[in-house]
Amino acid sequence: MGSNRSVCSNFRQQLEESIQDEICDAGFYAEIANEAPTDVLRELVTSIVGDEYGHARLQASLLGISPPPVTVPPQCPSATGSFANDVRVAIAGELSAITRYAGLAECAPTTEVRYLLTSILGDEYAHARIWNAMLLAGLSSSNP
Amino acid sequence: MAANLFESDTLALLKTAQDSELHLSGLYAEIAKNVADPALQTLIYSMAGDAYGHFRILAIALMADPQRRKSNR
Repeated sequence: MGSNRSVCSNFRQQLEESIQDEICDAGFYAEIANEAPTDVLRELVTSIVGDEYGHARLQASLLGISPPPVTVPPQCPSATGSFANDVRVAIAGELSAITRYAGLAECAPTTEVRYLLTSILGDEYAHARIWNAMLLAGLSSSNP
Repeated sequence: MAANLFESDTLALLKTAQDSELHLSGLYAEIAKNVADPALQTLIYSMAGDAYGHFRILAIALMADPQRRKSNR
């Protein structure tokens, strides 16, 4: 499964980069949580932070390096102070993650690993929908 | 011994379909990322969710087949 494709030759490295991305996302979202205009939105964002860290742990387990490093890697996005703008960036990040996990799952060495990775893909899709709902909630509250 | 659910040719087609749905899921998300209009972006990435749903349905179908289960052990 996946081993006959040249793009799959560096699967392990791609998994390591994916862990870094998840840790970046967790940090970025934690900053967005601090910008949330209501407690409910803050709780929702915080739950997504937990999911992203869980994704990092799961992939770290696959690589045998669990728990993942706690240091924040360089070049992570930072919150701008605008909740709506940062949520839009978060949606773009979730969409990138869906594409990344689809590619990783295509390269997975076993069916079990493939389904673990696609379960993360499903989480990222759910996150995109939650972020979108947050945006819509913000728009509807500002335009009665 | 349980009867196979699918002919081997059909099983291969299902596997191809599952691979295609996974690829499409990633492709729709990639397209959506570059769509500026929020409504259209949401519409397109919902297709990524649909493709993922199809992938899951095919996973269940494939795992339900005794031939396939055996090959996964």
